[in-house]
Amino acid sequence: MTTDQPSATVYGLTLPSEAEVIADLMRLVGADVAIFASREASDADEEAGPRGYVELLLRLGEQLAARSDVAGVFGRSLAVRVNTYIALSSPRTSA
Amino acid sequence: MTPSDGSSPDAQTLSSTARLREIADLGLDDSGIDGILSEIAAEAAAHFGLPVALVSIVLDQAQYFRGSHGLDGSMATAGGTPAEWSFCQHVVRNRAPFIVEDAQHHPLMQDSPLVRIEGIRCYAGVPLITFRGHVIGSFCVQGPDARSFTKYDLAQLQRYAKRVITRIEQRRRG
Repeated sequence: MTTDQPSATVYGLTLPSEAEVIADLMRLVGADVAIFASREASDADEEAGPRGYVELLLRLGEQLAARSDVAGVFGRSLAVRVNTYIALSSPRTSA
Repeated sequence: MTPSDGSSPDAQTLSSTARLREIADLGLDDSGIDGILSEIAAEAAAHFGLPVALVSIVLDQAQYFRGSHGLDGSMATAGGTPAEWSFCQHVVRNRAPFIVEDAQHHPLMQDSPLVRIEGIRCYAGVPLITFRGHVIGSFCVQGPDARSFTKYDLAQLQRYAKRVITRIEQRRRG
């Protein structure tokens, strides 16, 4: 039997809302970068077709992580959290 | 050595803009340094007879492994963990070594998923302090059984940390 019940719940890991991510970014690096990053991620997401919120957050984190400033550090941090969530939420097989 | 209780942590330290800017200036993502740091981690793990050693860069909301030995599972896949789960956050918050001889009975760590679910039981970490004086993370060893760490152990960990920070500084871009 296979289940996709997220074990991230067992670990107490939840993902931030997009609004929370943007608010954190604004606090760290200012509104311009925050809004630009959010639009970039959303545009890329639309171009790639329908995707889930997890993929949107991961894309945002990875795009930011490519930067060489504080926003890049924030992006790497977000990407690690999202990748942890994905790793823990992968379908697991049981007897 | 008496375990650290990690008291009076500075909750603002992790998201300090100056500290995060220092991490950005080091250019850790594009330095190709992982292999070198992982070799040092492997050496430390062997020295202490423990399965895992890490070069953990503690970001604002996650720890990010730039060198590692012995990792598996979600930590290896994700390349880090949320900061609030981590032992290494306490090294950064206190700018001091953090020693946990038995995490199952440690007030700061017993509820962490890394202890409850992943089974980490002992930990010793020392600060990674840049030449500009910022604590960017921790060099640490950890294992699944309770154990004590001596003053000599701590001094040895400090020597590994010094080697790590020297390697990182050699690639600074900022």
